[in-house]
Amino acid sequence: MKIATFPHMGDYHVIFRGLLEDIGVRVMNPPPMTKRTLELGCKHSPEAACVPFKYTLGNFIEALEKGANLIVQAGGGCRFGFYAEIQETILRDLGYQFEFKRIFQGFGSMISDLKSINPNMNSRELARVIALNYLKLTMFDRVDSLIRENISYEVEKGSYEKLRKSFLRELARTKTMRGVFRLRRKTLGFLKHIRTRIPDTDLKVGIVGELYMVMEPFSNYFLEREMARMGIKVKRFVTLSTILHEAFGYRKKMRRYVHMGHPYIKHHLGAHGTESVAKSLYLINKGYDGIIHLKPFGCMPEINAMSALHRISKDKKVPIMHLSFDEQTSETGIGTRLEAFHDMLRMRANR
Amino acid sequence: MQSIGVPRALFYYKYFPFINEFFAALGCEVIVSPKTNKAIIDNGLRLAVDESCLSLKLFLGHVNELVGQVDYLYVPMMESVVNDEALCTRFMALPDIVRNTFEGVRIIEPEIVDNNFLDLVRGETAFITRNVIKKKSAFKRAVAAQRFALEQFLDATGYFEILGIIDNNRSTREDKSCDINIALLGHAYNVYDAFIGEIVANKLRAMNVGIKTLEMLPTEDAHAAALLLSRDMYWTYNKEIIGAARLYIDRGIDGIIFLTTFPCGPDALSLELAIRTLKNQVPILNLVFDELESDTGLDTRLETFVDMISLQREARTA
Repeated sequence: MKIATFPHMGDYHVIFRGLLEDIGVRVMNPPPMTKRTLELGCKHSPEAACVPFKYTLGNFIEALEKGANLIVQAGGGCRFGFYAEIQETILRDLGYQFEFKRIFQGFGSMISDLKSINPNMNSRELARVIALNYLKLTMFDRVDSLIRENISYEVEKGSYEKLRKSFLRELARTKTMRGVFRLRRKTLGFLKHIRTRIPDTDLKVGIVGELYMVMEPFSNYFLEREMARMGIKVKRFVTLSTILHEAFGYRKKMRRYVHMGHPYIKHHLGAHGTESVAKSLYLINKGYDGIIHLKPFGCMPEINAMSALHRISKDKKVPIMHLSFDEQTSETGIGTRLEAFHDMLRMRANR
Repeated sequence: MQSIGVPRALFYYKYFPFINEFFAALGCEVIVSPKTNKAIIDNGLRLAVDESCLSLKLFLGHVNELVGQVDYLYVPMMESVVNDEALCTRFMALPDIVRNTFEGVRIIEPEIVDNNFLDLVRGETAFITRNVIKKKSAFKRAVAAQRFALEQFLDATGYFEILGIIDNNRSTREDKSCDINIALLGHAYNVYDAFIGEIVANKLRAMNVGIKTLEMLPTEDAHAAALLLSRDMYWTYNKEIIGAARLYIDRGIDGIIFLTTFPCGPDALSLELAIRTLKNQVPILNLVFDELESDTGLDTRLETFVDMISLQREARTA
């Protein structure tokens, strides 16, 4: 019997699990991320592989240890497109027995990729499943983004987090389109009623950078949560929904981002590098107090963006903090830098 | 006459005959930076983002040599040279990195996607002439020059003489009298750089080891052979490297040295796959160059590797 698993990515496991269960396989969530996950991943990864490779490999090993036998991985972008083959090779060399499915190589193959997981499913039913889970994903990201941008303003500590938890629980249980719309109406209503207070010094920081580092809180040491605790409003554009949407008219969108990054960039920098530059400039021009640029150590497209970001920071006189993560990055180190960044932003705002 | 600066790094090693002929045919003076030296290394390390691979740091060191000495810098944006494949994404950002690192440089930056170099005959070269017919004719000559240079290299040393890398006397052809022959495989901008591959090649020659490189094979063959090792790999240069490994093993090479710089992203993954697949078939050494120059360390590793190959052969014949 197939027991499917997938890599961790924030709370998206609610969506991934839903999708796979709707397709008709048993699902085992990868065990929650811990230091051991990273250690396992590093032990069996090439040294210069980027840290998302190591985290996801660790997820797979831990899930395989617990009995999963079908790994579902995606791919695309910079090195990520090649993860699947090399991770599969490493895991098989370690002696694990499993099936490996790489999905989302492109929209054309999406239906056939998912169908190969459960060949008994007919295409129409599969299309309904995809539509339902896509809807759940876009709603998840909408609610998540709203919470993220307002959580630093909450009057009663924990009010947003409580709502978020119950929303996730209900989302996992929703199995119909109508249920999704009902849940959305309800949740957005509740969100409006949470009391918020915008402080006199309203610090706003944008987060840009590599997809995994931005979306997986364990890997960035719960940066957004820390910033909310410091009373900083956080905005980021990278979500699974935006990534999927970008796949449509990709070239056109990249040209638009290059245009937005003028005159610092004239060409697409690869993967999300262009967007990191474009969105940083956009937010700075909108009056944001600072930008945090997240990436794994060695991430080529984001290193590409750094020359332009250095220039932008210098010209616009807005601090851009570059955080680079590998397995040896200390949590305290990041915490210290964040505190220093916060202090600097406050000083500049109060000047 | 306009002077065009070409940094002796990255795309130079793959495309110089083409670049040189194109701009010379249009009446420009082509100026190349010198072979990698201490000043270039130091400047590169200073100018580049710290996490960049050594190859890119050297590139910026070479650009620095040319800034202020030439009218224009030739720094193309290269995305892919084979359909549905890609180069390392750093090749895409070279013009923008140069733009943001150096003040007031003028850059010729054609966009090369899916091996289409024709952007060169458009706006990027309008400052030389607006006559597209003239530029297309120069383009054709340049393509022919490149092809000729590659053919030259396959049985002699022509290509790399043009690049000024080796003397006319020395040959990187396999010396039939060498007892041990090793394939030195890696990106051309590493294997033929004075600071990286040339040092290794000199040491191997001193040990009387014959050297074979990727460029001694038809690159289409090496590229095609990659499919025997990997189904998903999409980096063109990496496919050529691992395909060459496969082909040399089939031809009975005594050992393979993979040459890479730290922290090369595509190499990290593609060489991991190649080494896992091939290590039972031939002795393999993975040499990772970073900016720290440790001559003794390199000597030890190469001597040990060559000794091991000798010992294994003796054991087999015994």
